[in-house]
Amino acid sequence: MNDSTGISSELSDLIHLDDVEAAILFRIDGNVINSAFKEQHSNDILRTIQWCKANVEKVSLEMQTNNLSKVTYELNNFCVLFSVVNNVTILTTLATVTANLSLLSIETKRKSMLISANL
Amino acid sequence: MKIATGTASHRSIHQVTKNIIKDVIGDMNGTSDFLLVGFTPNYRSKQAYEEALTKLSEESGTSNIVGGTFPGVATSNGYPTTQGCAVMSIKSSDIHFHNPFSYSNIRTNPKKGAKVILDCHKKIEQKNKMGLFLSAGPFFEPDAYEQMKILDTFFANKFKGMFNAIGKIINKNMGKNGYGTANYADEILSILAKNKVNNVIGGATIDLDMRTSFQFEGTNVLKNAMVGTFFSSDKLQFDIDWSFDKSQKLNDFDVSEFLTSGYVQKINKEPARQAFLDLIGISEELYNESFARYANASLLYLSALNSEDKEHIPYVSICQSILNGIVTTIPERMLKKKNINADFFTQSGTGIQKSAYECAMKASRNIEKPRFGMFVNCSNRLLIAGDKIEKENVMIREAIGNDVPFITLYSGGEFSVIKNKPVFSAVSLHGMVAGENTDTAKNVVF
Repeated sequence: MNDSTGISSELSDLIHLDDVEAAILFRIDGNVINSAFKEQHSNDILRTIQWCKANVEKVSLEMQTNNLSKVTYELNNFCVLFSVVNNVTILTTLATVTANLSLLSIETKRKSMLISANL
Repeated sequence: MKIATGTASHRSIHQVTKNIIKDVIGDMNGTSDFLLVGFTPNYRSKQAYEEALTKLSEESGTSNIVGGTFPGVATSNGYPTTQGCAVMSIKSSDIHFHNPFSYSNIRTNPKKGAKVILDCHKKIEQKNKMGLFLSAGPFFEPDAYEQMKILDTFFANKFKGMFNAIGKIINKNMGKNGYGTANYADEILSILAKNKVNNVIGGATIDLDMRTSFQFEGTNVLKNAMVGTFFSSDKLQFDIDWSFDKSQKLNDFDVSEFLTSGYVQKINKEPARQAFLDLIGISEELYNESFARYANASLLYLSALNSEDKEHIPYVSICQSILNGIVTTIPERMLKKKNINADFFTQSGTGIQKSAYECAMKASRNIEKPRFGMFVNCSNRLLIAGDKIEKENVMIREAIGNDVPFITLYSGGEFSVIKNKPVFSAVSLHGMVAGENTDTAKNVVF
């Protein structure tokens, strides 16, 4: 059983980081399990989220096939970080293009582990 | 002896504190003798940290608290976090935890800071002593280097003596605004070593977004300060060592012309900035793209001085487009020596993991039964490793024992005094291990 309060709290933690605009937990078929967004969001971020939703299945397949634990894309002036949570869920973090990806990857990995424990 | 460690992460400092109290302080039943506390800097407000420390003090039963803000914190039983807190809580009848000290004008008067530490050291009667001090680390405005342009002039190359002094004044002026840790930390270490202080470990607090960092003494939250304490024991031994990734040595690095204030004018007899970029083989554009958000400090490429005992000590070079030379974190004391013999190293993810093992092995080699460890790791290594940073802590566990609790603080400059020798270094790991004495040293092979 999912602990949705716990997952929601972990995603909210992520969007409290300065450069993170949104954090979305996807099922690999593209369905959203949970999400958190900064209060103000632009059309660009909505377009990027739309792209994530449309492509998460393809990205997940690629990650599973090649045993990748993390994939980063840069588009519409955002960095999109896909991190594997478990076999069926992917954590997607949208950050500004100037975000420090090294530091961000530490926190997304930590959150992936905590979310996995909550699922 | 009872030791509890833990790491918590949350957007709210109140929640983080609550989790730490539940998971770490709760284990000790309000009877801690000492807390080492590392918060990440994202909570920003001095008042928020003060409230958190007051709560930790109330619940732990001790105001013997030392700590600060660091970009990353971790413990042996907690995955590293960049948004949270790590705490090590100790209760022991075998160790005397002395009252914490602080000095709030450390950037401009390091001598007085050293005196505060020495005064505390003099009062200790037990035979084994270990000092821990944390100093304010660097933060500066993007245009901080403008005033260094004068060090590129014809006169600065011609009249070295005069411009050594001018460079020192510039450093001191920048120091007041936060820039730099090297000189004042090195000066303190040097004074401690001269006064027979054997074992000290420490690091500088830092916010990688180049905002103010804080230091904690008891429940007080300080800026631009030094805080610390001593542990002493007749039963337990404290050992300390350090390392950096020495696996990839590239070239000899001839520091041909320089000012003792840490400004290198020529490398391999060529203007330093261009020679440096040639040496690492990347264009200025790519360099700026890679390192601009790290204050233009070359994290992967280290110049390492070959010291008198043939040990390399690494320093960061800062390559700014507006300057012909490069700024280095080599302390003034080292640049006053007659022969500057330097080499050049590249850092890698695997290399820094191995160096973590080396550091922990060396720090624990004379200790048969390690009880706990404290590690000060460079925040640049955190950036190099990214989400693989936990592997360094896995290496430390392998070296000192899986059940030995430890804490890691990711600092902006790390340092120690090891057997009367001061070491201020960059992109390195310094570690202390406490435990039962043994006369037989481990056979350490790397």
